[in-house]
Formats: sequence, structure tokens, C-alpha cells
Amino acid sequence: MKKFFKNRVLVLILAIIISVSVILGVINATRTRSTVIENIAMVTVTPIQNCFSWIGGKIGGFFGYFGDIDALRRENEELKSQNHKLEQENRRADSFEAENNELRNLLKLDEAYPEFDLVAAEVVSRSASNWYENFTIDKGTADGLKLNQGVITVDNVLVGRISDIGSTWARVTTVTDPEHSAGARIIRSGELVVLEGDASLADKNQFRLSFISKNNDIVAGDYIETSGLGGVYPKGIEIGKVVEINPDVQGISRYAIVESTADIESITKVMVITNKEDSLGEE
Amino acid sequence: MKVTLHAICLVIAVALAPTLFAFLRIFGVKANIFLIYVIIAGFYATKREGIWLGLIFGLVYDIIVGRVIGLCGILYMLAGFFTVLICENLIRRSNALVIMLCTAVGTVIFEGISGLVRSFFSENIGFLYSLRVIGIEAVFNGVLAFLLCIPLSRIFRRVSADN
Repeated sequence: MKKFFKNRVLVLILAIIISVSVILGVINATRTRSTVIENIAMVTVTPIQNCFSWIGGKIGGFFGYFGDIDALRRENEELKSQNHKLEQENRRADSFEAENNELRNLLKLDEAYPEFDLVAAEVVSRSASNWYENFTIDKGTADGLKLNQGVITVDNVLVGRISDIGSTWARVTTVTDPEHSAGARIIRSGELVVLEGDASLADKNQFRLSFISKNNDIVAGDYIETSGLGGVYPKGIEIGKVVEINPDVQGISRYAIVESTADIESITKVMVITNKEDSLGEE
Repeated sequence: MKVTLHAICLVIAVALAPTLFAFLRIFGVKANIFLIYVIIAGFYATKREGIWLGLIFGLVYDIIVGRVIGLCGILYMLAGFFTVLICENLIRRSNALVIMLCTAVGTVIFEGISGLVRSFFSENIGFLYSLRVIGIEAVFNGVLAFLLCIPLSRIFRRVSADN
């Protein structure tokens, strides 16, 4: 150490270094702007740095890709599994909602028509013939059903009547069956008409209103309901809407084509009116 | 063995006709698998078998459809009988195309009679509509017979060989 301080050159160099450091420190601490030289240097160097940075990023991304795939695959499988569970829950929820709506409709029907005794039934099979429109339900005499009782949907739309019955089954002839007929009335005017099934209209969920006099002011769009006459169907059950009106072949009267409000081909649940009202003579 | 086979096919027809086949329609017309089976089976039966087969299948069909009991019993009995008769006297060799054609013609004849009888007694089944339905049903039944006869023919031949 004494030898070091005896060497004057070395001491001088050390002093200069310390002085310059202090001066630089003071200058940098108080400096607010870059110098011209700095600026020129950085403007020149920055694009080159940018280029290499881009290349570096791509290379880094390339190697990172392989590491990410595995994580993504695992995440994808987890999400698929969650999605599948959610879809199942969604389907179950849809089914509960549909059942809930149906039960609500049944309750509304019960409350709206307290005078009706209704028995719910499910459709188990449909007609195998091209000439008849009927279906079979899973209730019969053991459930209190009888022949000729009226059958309606859960929305209180006329479907048909029981034409054949056993202890645990019953066959329902629908309103679109060619051999079905019933008394009906136009809701707007109150006029009475006769409802008849027609084989050529059954596919379109339609049937005929026959024997419409020329004086009858029925128009397309009129709604039809049961008249209660005939002793089969109670009065006031919705049937359908008039689609068109045509003159009869003989030209004496007219007939109308009515579309049922219920989609008879797709019905799965029905209600049987077990205490039919016989309105004969009331009007 | 043959009786067992026919019984099984009858049960299958009763189960499928008012359920699955009620939804299979072409232009609103359904196929009649009872008639199809009677005609296909007629190709591999004797006259007596054809008559009994037609009668039983027809009666069961009447019960399922639920109207005039006996009409289809008689008609399908005749269908079974005439199928056997034609097979024995006119057709030298039966194949899927022959069966298809016989089924289509049989449908026209026997469903035609059935439909015309019904339209005669009911104003609401028009004559032209009946023709349309019979025509479409004949084609539909023919196509189904073509498809069904291949597996059924093998079964019938095997059962006949065993007997």
C-alpha cells in the first residue's frame, strides 16, 4: 500500500477517475434531456435492436408453443367435460320446464273448468290405417272412462271422442276422422254448424264445417267451438279456426275448411272429460 | 317352427305398425306391413298356409285399426291365397323384384277394394283421394317389400329346409 502511494502516476490516475465519476454523477442527476450524440446513436441503433428483438420473440414463441400445447390440450378436455355436463343439465332443465308448463296448464284447466271431471292420459299408439284418424290412450274403464266421452288437449282444445274402450286402453277417434261429426258453433255469431272429418284434409290437420247456409255470415278467421248439442261434447270447447269457405257441390249451401287449434298428429297427452254435459234443450 | 316365426312377426307388426310405421309417411300415406308380410310369406307357403296367414294377419289388423272387424281378414286371406296361387302357377323363380311388383299390385287390388268399400259408405272419403292414397301406398309397400324380402326370404328358406 505504501508503495502504491509512492507511485505518483498511479495516484494521479486514481484521482482523475474519482473526479470524473463525481462530475458524471452530478451531471446525470441533474440532466433532463438527452444530448445530440446520444440521440444520433439511439436513432441508429434502435431499428437494429427492434429487428433482433422481433427475431428473438419469434424464436422464444416457437419454443414456448410446445410447452403451451400440452396446457391447452388439458384445458380443452376440462372445458369439453364441463360443457358436456352443462349440456346434460340444460337438457334436464328443459325437460323439467316442459313438464312444469304442462302441469301448470293442467292446473289452469282444472281451475278454469271446475265443472269438468278430467282424467289425464297418454297417447300410446296411432292409427296404422290410411283411412282412419285415431289413436290409443293408456286409460280405460278401470280408470272411469266410458264410450263417447270427449277428449281434449291440456290447452282445452277438442281432439275427439272415445270410440272404443277396454279395461286399460281406449281408442280416440279424432275430429279429423272421416267418420267423426259433431255439433259446433261460430263463436263470433253464435250460429250453429256441423263439424265433419274429411280424409283428404286430415293430413293438414283440417276438417269441414258442413251445411252452412248462404245467410250465415261466417268468414275466414272465425273461431269455432263445441255447441254442446248432440250430447257428446260439453259446450264451449275450442275447436279451431276457419281457413276458407267454399260453395257446396250442389250450390245450395256452403262448407268451410277449419284448421284445428291443436296439432293432433303430435299430441302426446290428452284429458278425457268423464262427466260430459248434455246441453240438449238448454238453448 | 314356421308357426313360431309367423307368430313372432305378427307380434313385431302389431308393435311397430301403430308406432314406428305410423310416423313413416310419404305424402301423408303410411305403409301396410301386415299386407307386405302376407304377400312375402305367401311366396314360401302352401295354399292352406297362405289362407290362414292372411286371415289371422287381416283380423289382427282389423282389431288394431278398430273399425270393421273382418273386412281385412277376408281381403288378406284372399291376398295370401292368390299370392300362393300365382307363385305356383305363373312365377318360375321369385326374386326381390318379383316380390316388390306383386306387393305393389296386391296393394292396389286389396287396399283398393278396402278403400272403395269405405268410400262407398262414407261421403268423406273421396274417390279421387282414395286413388291417390292407394297409388302412393302401392309404391311405398313395394319398396318396403323389396327391402324386407331379402332377410325374410333367407329366414323362410332356412325354416323350410329345417322342416
